[in-house]
Amino acid sequence: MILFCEDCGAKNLLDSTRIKSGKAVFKCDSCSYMNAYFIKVAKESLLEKTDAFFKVIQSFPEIIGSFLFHKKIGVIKNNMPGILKETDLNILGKLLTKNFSACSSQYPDVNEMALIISNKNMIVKMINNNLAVIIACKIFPVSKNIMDQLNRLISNDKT
Amino acid sequence: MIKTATLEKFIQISKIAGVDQYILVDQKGNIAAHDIKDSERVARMILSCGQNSFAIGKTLLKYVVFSRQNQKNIFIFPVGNYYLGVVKQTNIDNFVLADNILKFLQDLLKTRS
Repeated sequence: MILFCEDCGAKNLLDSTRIKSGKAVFKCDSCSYMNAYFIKVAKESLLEKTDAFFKVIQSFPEIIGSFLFHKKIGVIKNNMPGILKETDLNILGKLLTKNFSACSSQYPDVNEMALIISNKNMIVKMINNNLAVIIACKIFPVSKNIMDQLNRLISNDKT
Repeated sequence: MIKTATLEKFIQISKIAGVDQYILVDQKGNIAAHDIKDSERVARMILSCGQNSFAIGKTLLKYVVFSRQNQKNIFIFPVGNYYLGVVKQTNIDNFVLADNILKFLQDLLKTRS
């Protein structure tokens, strides 16, 4: 991260560990002035977080793929095997989110859906009313580690 | 149309460990049997979710499970031309209940044939 010295205006390259509780404390490389001021740290976007999550879970052997689906826009992030075209994923996402909405309109406390199919399974979690994370996996349930990370992704974005 | 004898056997489903409520719906949304609250609305939901899920899994679809905060999870099983909806009791594992239901349905189909 680049921060400017309040005294001489020189550029200083800092790592994120130098920012505590939103305050950057550092000695200017150019004039040695001791800076200490509050900065706004940009929140990691949902897409970045989802991308990171998809990359992590892809290393688990039980995961076939995953994608982020928006009810109105369609597929936003795609980490599914190449054999599935985007139109296929849009149909799949539409059916799955329709299912979720239909059930949660009757039972509002629904928080997860899983389709158990002989050779694969689909897990669906809604981030908000329109956005769903969909995971295709070989076994169900998937490991606790994956579910913990998925729940963290969902809860982080809801807060 | 389900025969009365089969239906009589079917309603034994309520005695399976872990079954809190159940509903059996045909492809038109007609209720063949139920012991569930708000049956008409639930029937529409079960039919819609059952058909959507079948469109994805085709004949390989085993079941759909909706997890709930209160642990009374909702299951939907394809049963021939029908969809079976089950509300789970809180004190039983998802997989134990799903196995119990699948075995029950297999036995029911065997005795029919």
